[in-house]
Amino acid sequence: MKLIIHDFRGEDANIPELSASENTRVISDNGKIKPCIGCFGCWLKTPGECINKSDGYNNIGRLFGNCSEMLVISECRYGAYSPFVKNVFDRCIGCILPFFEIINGEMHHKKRYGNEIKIKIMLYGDITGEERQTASNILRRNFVNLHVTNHEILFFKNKEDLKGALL
Amino acid sequence: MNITFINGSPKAKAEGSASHVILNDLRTFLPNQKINEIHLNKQEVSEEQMQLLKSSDAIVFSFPLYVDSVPSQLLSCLYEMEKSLYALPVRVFAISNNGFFEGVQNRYALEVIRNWAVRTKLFWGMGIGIGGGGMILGQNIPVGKGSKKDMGRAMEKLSDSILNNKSGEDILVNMNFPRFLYKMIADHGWKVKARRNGLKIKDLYKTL
Ligand SMILES: Cc1cc2nc3c(=O)[nH]c(=O)nc-3n(C[C@H](O)[C@H](O)[C@H](O)COP(=O)(O)O)c2cc1C
Repeated sequence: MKLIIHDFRGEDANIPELSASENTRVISDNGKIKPCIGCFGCWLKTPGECINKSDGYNNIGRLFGNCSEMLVISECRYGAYSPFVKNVFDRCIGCILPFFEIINGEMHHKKRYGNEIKIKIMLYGDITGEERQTASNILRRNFVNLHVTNHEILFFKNKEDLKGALL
Repeated sequence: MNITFINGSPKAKAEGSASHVILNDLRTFLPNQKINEIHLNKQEVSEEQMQLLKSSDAIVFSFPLYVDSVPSQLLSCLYEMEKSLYALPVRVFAISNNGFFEGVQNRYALEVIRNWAVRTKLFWGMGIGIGGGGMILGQNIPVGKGSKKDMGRAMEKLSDSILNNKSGEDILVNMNFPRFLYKMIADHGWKVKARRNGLKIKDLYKTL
């Protein structure tokens, strides 16, 4: 399954490249997502799934654990994802286990699932050189934490350029 | 000096967060200062909170590392604060704490706050990253002693930088405690908590 996560709203989101299909699931912003509250319920109460079912974004860990390909489209400001896309990642941690292991001399979490993910990250915005550096470094850490080995990061000046590259 | 502490943990109760304990520890290095503390655990900043931030000489973020960066609700708040605090004479400091042992893992989350300060045209002071956040809650170890020895030294530098309008390099520290023990205790802790929730250990490995 391919998983698309994006922060486009309205017209921008209504393009075939970002549509769900039999083999493609899409996580997009309906304005209702609630933040993670750091309860670790997705590890210790309902393992694999967020306990907050009120907004429909409780199955992110499951989707991460069952996809083979991921496309992430996000605004980048301060070197971070947009609040929506970051929210999706904060609520994904059910896809890994609470237990620790040492990778490259540092502590990380063990895998819950065995899937290999190929990830493509497309960031847009008026991004400074420093922000770009920060974003690349954060994403490099994410790949270790989420056990992703096949990755690509692309930067775009604005949404339009990014949309052009999707076609 | 008017200092505002910002607890950036999304937990419901400020008192239940390591970020709050860390700010309490920092207070001991800032005697006789006027300090207010706010909790930005929602996706927006209230009018009252924003007024407080705007009238501060210095603001100190204390937040947990979430997926190698700043938690999402705090990012939403940063977007709002960029508009409201633009080019004001407010100095910015940050403390990030994380669950893994190594404080160095906070490096880029601190850069996010620095990049925010640059975009908002505010003076950036410095940041500290604290590893082993699992040891901070529920323990009454005085800062500067025992496992919090290096944390104390970092806070000395940070408070000096807050009080004397200085900027400096970020400092990244671990707990003064063996990593293998931290890992062992934490892994055991997950199992104890799961059992308390009525789960078996094998349930923790469930796939969906
Ligand atoms: C959604 C989520 C993501 C997290 N990501 C990381 C991480 O990337 N690295 C890390 O070391 N700890 C991570 N942690 C652990 C927290 O940083 C740690 O528990 C921290 O001490 C919590 O601080 P608080 O009590 O102030 O909220 C994460 C926790 C949660 C809930």
